[in-house]
Amino acid sequence: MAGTNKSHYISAKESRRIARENIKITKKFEKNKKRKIPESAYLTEMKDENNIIEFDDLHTYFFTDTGVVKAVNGVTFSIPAGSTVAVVGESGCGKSVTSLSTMRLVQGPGGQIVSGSIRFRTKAFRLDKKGRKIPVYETETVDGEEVVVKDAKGKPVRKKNELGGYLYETDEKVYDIAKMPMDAVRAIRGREISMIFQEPMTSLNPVFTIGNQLNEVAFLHIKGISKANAKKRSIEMLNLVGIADPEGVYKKYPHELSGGMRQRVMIAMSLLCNPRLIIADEPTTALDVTIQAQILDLLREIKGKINGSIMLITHDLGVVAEMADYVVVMYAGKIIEMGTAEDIFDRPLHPYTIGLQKSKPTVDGDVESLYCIPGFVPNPIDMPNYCYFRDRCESCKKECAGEYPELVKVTDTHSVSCYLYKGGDKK
Amino acid sequence: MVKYIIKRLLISLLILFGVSLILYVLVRLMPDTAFYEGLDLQATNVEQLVWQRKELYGLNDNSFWGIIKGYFGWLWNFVRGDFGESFQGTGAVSEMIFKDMGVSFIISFVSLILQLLIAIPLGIRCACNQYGKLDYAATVLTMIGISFPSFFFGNIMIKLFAVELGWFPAQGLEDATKMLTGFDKFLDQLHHLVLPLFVLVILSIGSLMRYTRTNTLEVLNADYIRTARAKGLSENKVVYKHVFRNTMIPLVTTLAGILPGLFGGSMITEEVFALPGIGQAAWKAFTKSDIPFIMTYNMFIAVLTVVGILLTDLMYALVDPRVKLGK
Amino acid sequence: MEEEKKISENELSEDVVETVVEENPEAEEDLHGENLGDRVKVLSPGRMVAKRFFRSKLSMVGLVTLLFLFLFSFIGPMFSPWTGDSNPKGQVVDENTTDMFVRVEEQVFSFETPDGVEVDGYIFIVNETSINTQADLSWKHWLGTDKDGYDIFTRLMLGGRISLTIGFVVVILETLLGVLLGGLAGYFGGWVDNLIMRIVDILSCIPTLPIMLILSAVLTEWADNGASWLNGMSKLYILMAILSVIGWTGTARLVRGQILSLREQEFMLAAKCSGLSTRRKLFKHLLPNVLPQLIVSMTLGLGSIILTEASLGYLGLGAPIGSATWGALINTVKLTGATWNFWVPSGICITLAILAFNFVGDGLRDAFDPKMKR
Repeated sequence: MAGTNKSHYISAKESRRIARENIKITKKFEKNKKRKIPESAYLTEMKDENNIIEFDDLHTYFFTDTGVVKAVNGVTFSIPAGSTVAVVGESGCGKSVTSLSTMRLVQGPGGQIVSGSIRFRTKAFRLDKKGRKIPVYETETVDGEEVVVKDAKGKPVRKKNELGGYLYETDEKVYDIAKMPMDAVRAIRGREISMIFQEPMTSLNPVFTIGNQLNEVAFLHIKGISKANAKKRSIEMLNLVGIADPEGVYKKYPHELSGGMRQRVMIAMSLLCNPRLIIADEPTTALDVTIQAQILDLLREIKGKINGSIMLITHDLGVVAEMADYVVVMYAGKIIEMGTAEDIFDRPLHPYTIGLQKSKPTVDGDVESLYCIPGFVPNPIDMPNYCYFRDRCESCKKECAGEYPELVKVTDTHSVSCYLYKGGDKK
Repeated sequence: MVKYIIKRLLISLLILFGVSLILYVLVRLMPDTAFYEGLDLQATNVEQLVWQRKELYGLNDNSFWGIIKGYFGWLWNFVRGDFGESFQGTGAVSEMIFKDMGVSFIISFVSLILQLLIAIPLGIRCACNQYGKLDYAATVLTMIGISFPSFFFGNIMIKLFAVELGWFPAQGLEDATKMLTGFDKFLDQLHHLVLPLFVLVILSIGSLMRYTRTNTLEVLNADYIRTARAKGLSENKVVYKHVFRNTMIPLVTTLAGILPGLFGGSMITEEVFALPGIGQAAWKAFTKSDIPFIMTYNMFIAVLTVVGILLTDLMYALVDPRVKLGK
Repeated sequence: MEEEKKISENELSEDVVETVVEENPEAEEDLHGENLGDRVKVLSPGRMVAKRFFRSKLSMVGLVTLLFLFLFSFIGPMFSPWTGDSNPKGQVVDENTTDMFVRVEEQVFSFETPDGVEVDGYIFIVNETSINTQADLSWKHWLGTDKDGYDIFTRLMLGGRISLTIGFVVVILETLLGVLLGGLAGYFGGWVDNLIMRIVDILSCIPTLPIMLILSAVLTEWADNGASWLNGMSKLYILMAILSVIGWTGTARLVRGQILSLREQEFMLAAKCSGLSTRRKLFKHLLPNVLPQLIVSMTLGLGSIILTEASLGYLGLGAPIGSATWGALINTVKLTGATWNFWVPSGICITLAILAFNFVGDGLRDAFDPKMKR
């Protein structure tokens, strides 16, 4: 190893030191994930009752041997109930990590939620003193009084839902997902929040049938559901996502389906338990353009049916325009601009957002060549404390040398993080 | 499917034909002296006996057609199950092989089961706790398993536990000085088998575990595992349902290598521990130039290898729904 | 590389550093001169591989061990006052044994075998009692002497020469054969492929050890029957050559598989479109892509060949009895009255060599393909 320009690189020694420190740090986080902590430790309140989920100063870091990558570096936004929020940005800006953080799926031990909170309104099970879920019993009105129905053996009859699953008493609670232990998170995953991934081709387990993988969700989250009912539910969902031959697909293996079909299956899977929030992580990126449109239509249609919210992660502004009520623009782990779809599309403020708009191909424009934002996304390790976009920015000013600009509100719905708009008005 | 299997069987026959041809050439190369092995050279009928022995392989006729006739004559005998008489004067070769196979099979089978039971769960655990304490311990074990020659490790074990400490008998399968019967005999044999099994298992779990670990790591990073987690499945369910099935797919390929060892014994380990298995019988046959035994043994191994490969293909189709036999 | 040798707790957790960052933190303060894009340096693939390889501590341990073994085997004997050669002319006797007088007499004579072949023969008359046999460890004989009075330490070094040389020769032969035939099969396909692959199938169905045993027996018989070219070490070399004739199948499969998958890739189509000759396509575009895996399989193969040689030696085949190879040395464990210094050192050497080749091979694989860590 000739060390002619070794000074440019992290030395082996340095890298090993970082690795050692990382192990120490991540061990602590991993321990926290497994620890049993009382519910009160992660019980919080929503800032705004209309929101279904609120991200508050979320930091998700990756501890690599070359240093700490701050993939999500202080992200604050919220998703109102029943709306679609799009998170936009180019590759590596932290949008996917934000979504994975919501599900606590960030690959440990390297990736960890370091600080901040994700407040989520959930239908939590009410627990008895021993920590067991309290079942709901069938009641009838006898002499004007509610009495629990008993079966022949004198045991109370448990109430079931239309699928034959047992019902439990639930409460509306707000949990801070970032602080929850993994056991508790699992009760939310798939039931309250579900996720559609980018790669339909690889997101389904190749060795199990579609039916098997769909039923799994039902068996997991609807306690006491019978096999027949689970199958009924799965087929119903396959029907809902517009699969022509649900019975046939039910029996098939993933490799026998096309990419679009697989993505539909993924959507069916995510809908199975009527979740409140569906996270769609670039659901159309890997698909043909015609299929993309179909899948987007489907998502929009479904949102109306299940009365939930959608968090749409994408880098495709066309998709955003079609789907989103609110838009969050991310760059290098930070939010640089957010607002309603109209705000972002009609009145973009941040130079980066403007650049993104300009780089979108249009039919009517007589542009010679597409606009291209110069430069690359910066190396995420050891980010300096100044605007990350500075080096690529065309409207860079003297102030830009200063520290990272705060996110400022321009209007009630529209905020931007740029020195051009310091003080809330355009200079 | 059936067509595919038939095709594979035909190819297998072709392979076996090739193997038999090579083996026959080797017999042809054998010097005359090999055929005098085990005979009383002073006896009057020596030449006649040698002639008979050579006749089995058609070695008496050195013309071109004689060689061809000799080969097909031997092949025909072989196919009919007539493997000839052992030169060591211990009877028909087929009987010898079947007699000795039992011991080898039991040893290999027990060690195989132990291997699978230890290596696969351990490999999966290591992958799940990558860089954990268990993982390091397992890596060391793996390296030992891969690098220690079995005769060296076996001899160290014998010197340590049998000669120095005297905990286990050094060699053989039973104690010749005691006349044991029934359960006592079984216990005695078990006692004799502890060291060989230990050596076999320790040396072979290494590579299997490493293989399992690498595969599991690869599967753990797959998108569908993330999907399984996103469903809310517990970590155990994720690992033992979703990961395990996918890890098994490449592991099936190792099956092909297991079959010959399972029935064919392990020459070196049996030699080190003086176990009366087929491996040692083969070794003895080699030293005694017992040509019928050697030929039969080699053909036997070749058949097992071919069957192993065939079984692997079938197992593949069984484990992985993406694989369709015959395309 | 000093720090590479020390094994610390996190040696395996160490990830390969690919994006490399300027080390100097002060530079970041200098605001307006620096561009964020400058912070990443791009390395050539070759240097990247070298960097990853040298960063892994296990591969360094392997490399150092190998270096040591090579020096030990090839340079070491030059400094030894003893010879450990099996060649009768170099009969080793400890002439400096204090009160014993050693006398070696050599008689050369020739006689005619019944077939009329003239054979030279030697007779050594050695005063048995005077040879310093089975000596204990001492400064003079670091590992004592064996039954014939050979210095074990010297023989260990000489054995390494043979074992390592054989390993390299066989691997190179195997690889040449494998690349040639596998390449032909993969590139031309059709009946060429079918023919070669059936040969591969047949050869891989033949159990290696038994075949080597038969051949060894055949060669021994021939040698006994007067084939003088089979005397001494040449038998071992012939056996090893046969080993590579049987052993090329793995390499051929690897090369063929790689070429088949590479052939379908776009860059080969591009090569075809640019009208390159077959030879150029093969050697300039296909082979370099197979090379990484080839190097890895060669390194790992070295270990297994040393193991095979040692196994043959242990069974008393291959090298002539009394010669110095690691396998033959470990065979001495079977002698009655063998002490640990007879066989344990050579066992350790074999294990070390295999271990080292494994470490280096693994390190190379990881360096070539960071996805396949360990």
